[in-house]
Amino acid sequence: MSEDAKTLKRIKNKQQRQKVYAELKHEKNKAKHKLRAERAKEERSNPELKTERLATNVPETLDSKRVFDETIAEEVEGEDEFNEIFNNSKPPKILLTTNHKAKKQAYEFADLLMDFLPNVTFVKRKEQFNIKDMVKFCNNREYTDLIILNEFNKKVTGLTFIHLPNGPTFYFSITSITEGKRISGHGRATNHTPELILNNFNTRLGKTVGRLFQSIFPKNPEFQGRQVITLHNQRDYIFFRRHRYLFKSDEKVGLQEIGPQFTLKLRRLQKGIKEETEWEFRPEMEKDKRKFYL
Amino acid sequence: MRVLVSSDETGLVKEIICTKGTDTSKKDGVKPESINKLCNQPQASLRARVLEMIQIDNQLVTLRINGDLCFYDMTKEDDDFKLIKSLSLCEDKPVSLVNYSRLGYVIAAFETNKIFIVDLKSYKHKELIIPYTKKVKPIVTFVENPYKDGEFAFGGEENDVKIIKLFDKPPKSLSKFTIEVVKTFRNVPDNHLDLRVPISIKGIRFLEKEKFITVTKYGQLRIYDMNNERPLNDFKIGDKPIIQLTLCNNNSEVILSDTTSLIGKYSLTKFDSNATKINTATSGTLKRPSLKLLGKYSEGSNTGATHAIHNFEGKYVGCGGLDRYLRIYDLESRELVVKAYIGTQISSLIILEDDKVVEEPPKKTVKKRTVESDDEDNDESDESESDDNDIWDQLLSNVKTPQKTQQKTQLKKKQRKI
Repeated sequence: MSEDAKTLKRIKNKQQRQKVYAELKHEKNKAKHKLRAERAKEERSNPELKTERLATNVPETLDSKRVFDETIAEEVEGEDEFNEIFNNSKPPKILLTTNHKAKKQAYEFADLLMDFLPNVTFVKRKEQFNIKDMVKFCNNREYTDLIILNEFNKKVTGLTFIHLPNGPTFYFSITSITEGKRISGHGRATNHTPELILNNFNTRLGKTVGRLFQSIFPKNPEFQGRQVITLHNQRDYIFFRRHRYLFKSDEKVGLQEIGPQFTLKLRRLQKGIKEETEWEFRPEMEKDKRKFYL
Repeated sequence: MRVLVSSDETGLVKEIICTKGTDTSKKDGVKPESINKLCNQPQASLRARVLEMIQIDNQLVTLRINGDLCFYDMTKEDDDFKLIKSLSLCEDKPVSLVNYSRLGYVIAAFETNKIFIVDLKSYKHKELIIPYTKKVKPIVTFVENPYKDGEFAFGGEENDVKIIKLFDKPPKSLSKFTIEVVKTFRNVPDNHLDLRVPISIKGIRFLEKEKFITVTKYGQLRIYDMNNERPLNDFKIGDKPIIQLTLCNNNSEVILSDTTSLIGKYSLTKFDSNATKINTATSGTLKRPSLKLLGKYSEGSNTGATHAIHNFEGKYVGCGGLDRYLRIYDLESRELVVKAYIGTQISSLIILEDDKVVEEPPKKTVKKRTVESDDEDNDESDESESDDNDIWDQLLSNVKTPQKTQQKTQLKKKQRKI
């Protein structure tokens, strides 16, 4: 037991004890800040010290402790269902719809999606048509992707991506939706085709997910728009962000967020049009905190 | 172990040579000795992927999704199997490839009811079309009755099981093959709500000469007898479609896989009588029996549907599917023996060889130290002998003394009892 702890234990009055504790904490904090300031001063005069410190003092994170996954190192073999789009440079054509009897929130989110999805058509869902019927209609009209929004209890809960004509089918759950206008200092989007950044889609499954997003956005972005869509994967959560970059000077670049923001999590990947399961999230997969699948 | 797997994304066949205990998912685990890409000819691609493959002596026969039937010589030339013959049978989707090499043929069946009989010597083939009295329906599975020559069974979506006969006596030429529908089975009776049960046969396996099982898209397993029109038993395994089945343990057990990650071993003789309960308004609670689940092959965290299950001599079960891993389990204990990342999805799998048993040289028996052995050593000096004797005497005295104390304690205890 440290000296401070002993002194604290000796004080029987609770309020007095709390006061002494707060003072001790404040002193500790002050000392820490002083140390940091001194170190910063030293490092400013000698930048090598900083690089040395950063090289040696690498914090351990869940990401750095990640369980070995042999699929990361392996190269993707052969062809997949997205090959046609990439080889023929076919422009994407997307049909967006909702679940049966969707509420206002689903239409609002569909509106958000239509802001950045290229060549997208929204069609109100009709009860008499199931997913297989819709796929048939889309194939007849040469759509490349079908996106179905899922709303439950007035909340948007999921997104189904069906790559046409023969799958695969992805189901993502959605959380943390923030509209662009709620982001402070947000910018306004233009109609330019955005650039796409895909981060950390490393495993074989991750690469398949990455190829889905690649196939949705056209390969030739309009750079004059300076708009970037980022899909950042961290611990199997995919963060969607949209920014505009600004050249402040020859060296400095600024970022302005356009929005919306939302987070996706892959729940299921099925071959074909909702056929056999290729990968499915199970709660026991989260038992090992250091195992990631994307 | 030597395993052949079909590689869906590339259209090739991969040969995996590994030993028991191989596990690529562990950083320091045993890696496969080699993974070779074979069957490059003719133009392997996703559109010409191998759907079914069988081994006939030193030949590998593959049925590709574009309807090509390819014959390869399994002796390697330039690290690849040599293509002997490639036959473009049909452009329709193939369903199954039957090994009929005991009569010198292979039989390929297609979704559109076309059956091709191919002579293994001349590579000539004959096309037969399954006759229908009513509307023609596609087939999903086509199997032989291994207990009766010339008899085959098939079924499909809204196409209940039918038995056909291709010959009465073993034919000497292709022209002797004919097709005749011998028996058509009927659907199960309507359910408790008087609703028709849909038909969707996914797989058939013969247990005996006149007994077979079917699995369906609706998760049912049915046992049929040739003398009855309807199935003898109808068991519900689960809600998901069953896509693969393999018999084991003298046809008393079956290994099934569904469209999710399930691979389970079920008994065909032991039933769980109250497995499913259906509450009805009119007829109370109905209890439906189901097959007893003997265990799941779940080790190795399978995440996808399993398309290929291979029973190797009743010893191992090889599994492969959409998650791009080859897993081999011990059939009885269900322990994972091999887990190897293949990199491509698997449609078909054959285990060719087990691990070669290396004969260990007989171990040298180490002579135990005994008093006799000490006597035999003549090289030792007299001094050392005398020392040894002293030690032995000491040891003996040490052994004897505790016995005395034990006796005393026993006596004391007895006294206490008195």
